[in-house]
Amino acid sequence: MKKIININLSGRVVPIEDAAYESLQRYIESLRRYFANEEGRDEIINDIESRIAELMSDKIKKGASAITETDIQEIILSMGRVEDFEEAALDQETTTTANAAAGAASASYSKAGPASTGAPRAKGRIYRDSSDKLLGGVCSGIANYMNVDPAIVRLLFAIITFGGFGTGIPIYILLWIVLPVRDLDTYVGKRLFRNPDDKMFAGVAGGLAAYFNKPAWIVRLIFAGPLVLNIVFGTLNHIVFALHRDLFPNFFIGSFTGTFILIYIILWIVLPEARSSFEKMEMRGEKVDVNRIRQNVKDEMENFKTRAQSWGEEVKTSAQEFGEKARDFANTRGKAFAGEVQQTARPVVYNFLRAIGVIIKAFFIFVAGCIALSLFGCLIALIFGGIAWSPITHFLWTSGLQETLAWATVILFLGVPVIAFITWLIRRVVRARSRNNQLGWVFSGLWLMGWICAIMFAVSIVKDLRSYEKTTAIDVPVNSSISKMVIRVNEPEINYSGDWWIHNENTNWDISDDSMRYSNVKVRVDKSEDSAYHVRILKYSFGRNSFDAQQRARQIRFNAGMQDSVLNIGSGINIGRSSKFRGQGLIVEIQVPAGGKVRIDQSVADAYNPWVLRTKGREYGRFSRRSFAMDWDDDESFDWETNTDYVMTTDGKFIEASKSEKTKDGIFEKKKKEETQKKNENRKKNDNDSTIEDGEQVTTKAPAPREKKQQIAFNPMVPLII
Amino acid sequence: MNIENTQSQMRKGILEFCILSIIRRGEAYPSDIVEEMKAANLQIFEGTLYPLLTRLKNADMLTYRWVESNSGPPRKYFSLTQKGEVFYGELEQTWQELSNGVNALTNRKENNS
Repeated sequence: MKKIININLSGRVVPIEDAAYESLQRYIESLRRYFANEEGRDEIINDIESRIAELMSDKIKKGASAITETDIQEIILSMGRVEDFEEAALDQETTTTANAAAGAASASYSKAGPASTGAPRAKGRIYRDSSDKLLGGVCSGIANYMNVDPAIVRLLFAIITFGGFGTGIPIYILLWIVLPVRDLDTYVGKRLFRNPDDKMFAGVAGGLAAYFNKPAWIVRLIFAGPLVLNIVFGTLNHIVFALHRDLFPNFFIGSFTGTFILIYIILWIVLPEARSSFEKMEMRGEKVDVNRIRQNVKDEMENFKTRAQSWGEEVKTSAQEFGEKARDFANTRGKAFAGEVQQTARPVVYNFLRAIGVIIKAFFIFVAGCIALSLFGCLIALIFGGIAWSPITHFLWTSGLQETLAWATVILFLGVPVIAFITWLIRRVVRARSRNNQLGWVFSGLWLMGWICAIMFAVSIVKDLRSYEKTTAIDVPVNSSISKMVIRVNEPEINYSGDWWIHNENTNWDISDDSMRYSNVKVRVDKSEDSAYHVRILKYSFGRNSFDAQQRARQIRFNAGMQDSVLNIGSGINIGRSSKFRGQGLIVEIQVPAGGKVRIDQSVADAYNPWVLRTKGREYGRFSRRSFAMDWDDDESFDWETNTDYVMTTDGKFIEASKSEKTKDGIFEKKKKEETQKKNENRKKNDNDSTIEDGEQVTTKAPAPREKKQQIAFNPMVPLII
Repeated sequence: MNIENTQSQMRKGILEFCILSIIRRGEAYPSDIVEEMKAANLQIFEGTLYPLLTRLKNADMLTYRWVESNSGPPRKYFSLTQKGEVFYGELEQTWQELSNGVNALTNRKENNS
């Protein structure tokens, strides 16, 4: 007794035996699987079902009461079994997903179906794959043997080479020579490609994204993440000194940056580009029927017979005696290898050069990016600075014209390239096609104007600084009875007292709404022409012309005064708002008589930067007017220590007291061998306050200076405000 | 098995051409096409034919219309489009070249041996 059911096939109701129905179902199922990725699959299935329905209708019309199993088998035979379908053109050579589908399909509905044809992958031997080679096909051969994506093997080789100091290279060359070459079938399946449709640089991220089926921006973020974080933290570090210890996060992230960039470059070289639609499908892992869209014509034309022949020859070769084999090895393989190397050398060299070109291009892009970024940073700083720096701006611009020029420069010169770059970047990311080049022209024009403004601005500033003048010296009265002078700074160190967010510790400058203070002070020590100490203050400034410069110089305020044997100097100069900042400076010139001592207090070191103390240097002829700053720079730097005594020698040098001595003749100079005697002499000489006959070399003569200087009214308590 | 492979390859190459020539002669529906091929000793499976027809139709080489039939579900009748005509023309030329060339080659070989 057989069960009969009614089915609706393509709109026709057909009575059919139950068993037959199951066979029919399996057949249709196998068709569905077979045409799984065929374009218009549904249409095809519908057409086939229609045809089956038609055939079944015919049978019913001919008098059958229901469709039987036999009928179904007949129908299937006439339609054709899935594996017989020529469209699939079952290329016997490969194991493909279609093959698997066909095999599964045939197994499911017909037990007598032909066995699924296996692919003649040379099982049990590793070959070099000549149909998929970057250099010598070694990696793809191995990949073929292991049935994995060749890109993975290549990646491993690259990592071994890079990480193991080139270990991969001799291994690769060895394998190249040893493994015989075959034209193998490339690995089919989900492969890692570079995606040319979705690339910023080389499509590495796009390919990875397609493989893992994630959106591309996530992959790019992962790649670029460490680099961006590095930059961000780097700038933050500079602004906010909270992260003094830079080990984490910047150092930690930095190692990731380098590694990721390296990985990107390796993947770039190793992964092939998915050019054909077949490769693109492979990239996404969509099931592919290789043989329909197969690119490699060679594989289709390859005749098994010739392949067997060449393989037989190889067998023969290796079956010969060892000596002959070695000779053959040297001859054939060696030559073949050399020939192959030569053959691959050119494309390799070409690829290598291309890779270098690309690296250079990437480097330039990177450099351009850095420049743009720094310009951007300047711009931001200036904009913010401009807003918050209102006190400073009062000191900078002498005229309204200058101020406008300055702002115009900032906006046009710095701002325009930044905006242009950002626009280009956004367009590139969004993939907008520029309709016209006018934008480029507009930006260039604006930038040119920026250049002009910048030049004009620079010119106007330079004009302002053309002249460098100093005031006439102002004397600070000195107590003539001193034999040692102590230099001390009696004002507190200058530090920024406003409410900005700058956290510099040693700013040495201060600014407020109406005045600006900074410590551009030099202390110069020179030998006195007579036997007394002198202290002079010299003020310097730049200006539009010499009168202007002198004017400005005179406006410098500085505190200095003597208190017993202590010279108190201020911690910096003070500039009023109306005189503007024009490189003002000040020299405190101390003239020390021979044998006179000077001691520098610790406060000087605290208040000023180390190069403050100078000795008078070479004597420039006053004729040379080339350098306007010769007066200012007319000295030598001096390595001094605090709280030690220094003595002015008779020939104008300034040395530590402990190293100097006074000779018989009263000459103060650097110590010689006979120490103790000289020291005694020194002490005696000083105590006795004796004078020496030789004219110039004179010790502090007590009476004469005292007489002279007594006349000056001298109030040690009032600091002299000059 | 390998000889079948080669043979199948040979057939695969001329399939489209044959089918197009059948349809060119006049409107045809798949069953008819199968019959004609069988008559010409070039048997083809329906499962091979349908996808091919669909592909050609998607490539605008063929067009079809539904015809109601009293003895079964409606049928698709295929005919050649303009583009298909052009396509066919080129294929015919290629076939001419191929067949002449192959014939010349095989004949010469026989003469020599």
